[in-house]
Amino acid sequence: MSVPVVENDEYLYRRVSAKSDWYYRSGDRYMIHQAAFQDNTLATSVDRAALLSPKNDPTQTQRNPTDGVFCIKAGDVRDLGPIETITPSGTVKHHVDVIPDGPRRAHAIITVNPRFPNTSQGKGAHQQLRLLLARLVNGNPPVFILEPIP
Amino acid sequence: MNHLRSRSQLKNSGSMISIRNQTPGINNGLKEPKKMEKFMEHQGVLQERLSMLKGRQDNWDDEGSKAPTPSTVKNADYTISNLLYSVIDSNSSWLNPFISSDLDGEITAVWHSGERELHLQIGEEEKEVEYFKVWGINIDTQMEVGSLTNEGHVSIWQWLISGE
Repeated sequence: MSVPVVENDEYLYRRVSAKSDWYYRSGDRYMIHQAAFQDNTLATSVDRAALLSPKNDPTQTQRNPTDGVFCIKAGDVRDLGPIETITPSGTVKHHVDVIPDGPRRAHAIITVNPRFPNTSQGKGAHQQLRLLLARLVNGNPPVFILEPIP
Repeated sequence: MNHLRSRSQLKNSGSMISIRNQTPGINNGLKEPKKMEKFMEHQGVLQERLSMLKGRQDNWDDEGSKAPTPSTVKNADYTISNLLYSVIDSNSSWLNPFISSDLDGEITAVWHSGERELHLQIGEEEKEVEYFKVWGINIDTQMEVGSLTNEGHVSIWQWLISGE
């Protein structure tokens, strides 16, 4: 079965473990921490809400019933960047994208094209992207569609 | 005013950090009792949080995150205590940060003030402290990245709190 490209108007779900530091309280509201987008592969796993079964059901993104789930729009993610890294041959612009990533049909990753190098510079660039992603989510409170249960 | 101060001075002010790189004869600002009282109050909150981070084991969050090493915790203590010292000494108001450890075991501290965010990324080495100022989602015009220095404490803090 072919997996369609991720459209700009699609919503993406991301899970946060209740016991993690991926979220915190600031004043009377929850905030998403940039670490919520961290991954050793320098990409971030998300679920495409429209392809979940049942459709748009955030509990399908949870690993544990206490997990929180927040939401971000694919087009807003793509509008971030490009993010630049410097190489001996010049400046590289990394465009932010959301692409399907099997084997689960609803699974996708937030990544950049070309991918960040697995170097300290690449990790730093990914951290900048994570800060922007967190800022994007936190700009639309309440951030959780399912709140974590600490 | 010289905002550098030694690890021994911070220890004497209540911080749990080790004594290294002693720099004598600097900054007597916190001899004022009210400033020292404020410093100690916020130090207590900081130490409580750092103590919790220090007790973490690898995979503490069931997400595969590394525990921060003792060196990373010490460096975070030194860095944030130094910033706190500068802030109190300059008669500014301190905001308690959210302090956490990430997938790699590095420690992060984040402050919010209005639309402005200040993030510190603290690794094992003293030279590894990076700051990120963020005030929007445009990476070219609304984010600044740099290395944190003691000399830059007051200006970075003034930037943060003027966002209120």
